[in-house]
Amino acid sequence: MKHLTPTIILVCLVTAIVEILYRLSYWDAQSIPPASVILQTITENQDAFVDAFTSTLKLSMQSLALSFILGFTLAVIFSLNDWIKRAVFPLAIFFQTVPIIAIAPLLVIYFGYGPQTILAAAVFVSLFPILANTLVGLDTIDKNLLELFQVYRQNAWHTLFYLKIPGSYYFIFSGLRISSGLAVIGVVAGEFVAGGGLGALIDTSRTQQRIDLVFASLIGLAVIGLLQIMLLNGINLLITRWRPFKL
Amino acid sequence: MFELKNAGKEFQQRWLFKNLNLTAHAGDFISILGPSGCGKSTLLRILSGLDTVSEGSFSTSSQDPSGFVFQESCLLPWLNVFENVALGATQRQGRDSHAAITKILEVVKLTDAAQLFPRQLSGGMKMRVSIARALVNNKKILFMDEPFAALDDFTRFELQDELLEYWRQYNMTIFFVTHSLSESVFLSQKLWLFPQGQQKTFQEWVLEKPSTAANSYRNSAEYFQTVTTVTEHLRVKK
Ligand SMILES: Nc1ncnc2c1ncn2[C@@H]1O[C@H](COP(=O)(O)OP(=O)(O)OP(=O)(O)O)[C@@H](O)[C@H]1O
Ligand SMILES: [Mg+2]
Repeated sequence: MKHLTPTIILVCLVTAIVEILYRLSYWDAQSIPPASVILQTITENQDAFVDAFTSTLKLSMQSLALSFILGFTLAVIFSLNDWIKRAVFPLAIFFQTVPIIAIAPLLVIYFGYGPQTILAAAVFVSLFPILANTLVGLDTIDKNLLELFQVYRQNAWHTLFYLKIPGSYYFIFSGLRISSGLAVIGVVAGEFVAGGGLGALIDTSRTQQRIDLVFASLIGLAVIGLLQIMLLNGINLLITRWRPFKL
Repeated sequence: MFELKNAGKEFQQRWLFKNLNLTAHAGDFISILGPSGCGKSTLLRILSGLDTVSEGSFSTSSQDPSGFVFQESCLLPWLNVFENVALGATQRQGRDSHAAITKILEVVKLTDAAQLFPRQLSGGMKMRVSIARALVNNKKILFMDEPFAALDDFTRFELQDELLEYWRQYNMTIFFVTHSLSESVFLSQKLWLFPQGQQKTFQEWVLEKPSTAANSYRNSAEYFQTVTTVTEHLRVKK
């Protein structure tokens, strides 16, 4: 956490300056509300805000977990066959470039209004980085280590479980990191079209010109992103303390 | 038996060797010598089946499990010393395998390091793990690529003695790449010499050696004489 100290100081400084300018009436709170106003908005709308926050957080975590299980499993299966692997990999890259906002309305038609659609949107964006990264990891195992397994006559399953999967650890994990941010984006995109959560709160606040509520929601989203990354880093620390994955 | 017939090997049209005719029999201890970059590791890989010849043929009748000590120690970072050695065990699980690994770790003096991960080891320790992995379960065939290069004299002498002991006891076939002429003379019965010094051709040299115990040979006059003879042969123009 020490390396974040300058960032934290900077953020506090900017917040404080905005706050002071606002108190001295040099700041237009209508465009960018200062911290105190946002805090007040949150306390005034506590129930609705907390509901929206937990709903978005839950769906985002669920979709990330689902993407991980699905992406990892599919990548392992695809990697077993060279032809399938080569067919699938460019698609895994391509689908990462499709804007989720454009897909979301389609998902409403398929899944209706509700959490299924939100989950589908979030999984759609967070699945492919994990899939692609895991595929790359399984495919770029050190040639020397592969030969080692050949010499000691390890079968394909052994090679997969004892070499390829652990050898892809950092690829898989960086895929997970990318996806963790994308999952939040996917959930918000889903909520825009399907309703619920911070996404819908932003949407309705926008129509009511409630900029303070929009900002409160944005901060909520940032906190969700932060929580997820912190959780992932914690897991990473536990795993790599148990077993180092590089020399 | 291992047999190379008119064998040649090239990388991108650069020939490492051509028309090589070599035979190794079960129970041979062969040292492969030559200057850096001449193709020793490549020849070893061909003999072990990890690489193929570009022309001519290579054949082997051996089906036995073999051990390979790579030039770089080649350990899995996420397995500890014990588990890395277990990778070379021919029986996968059970008490026998456990006992065999424990014993070989003792031989390479890594008993206390059994639970450490490769990143916590020195270069020489890593190499000893790799040697233990190759030796565990008394495999019939060993391919060793400069296994003792990173070790101090004292440890090297001990491991050389152990290796000879294993070779005699289990009737192993050993291919041993080294830069050290004296090491090769001490250990092996046959030298395969890549062109070096004044010698422009690949040569095979059979060493006449007494079958005495290892330690006395290391200090014997015959040993020094043989090292001198081979050195002179490589240095002097014929
Ligand atoms: N896979 C490869 N592709 C291209 N060239 C290669 C490959 N492997 C080895 N070479 C070349 O073959 C030559 C011999 O390599 P090799 O590793 O067999 O040498 P060596 O005798 O073991 O050297 P050293 O004593 O330094 O270990 C080198 O010039 C190297 O560049
Ligand atoms: Mg070499």
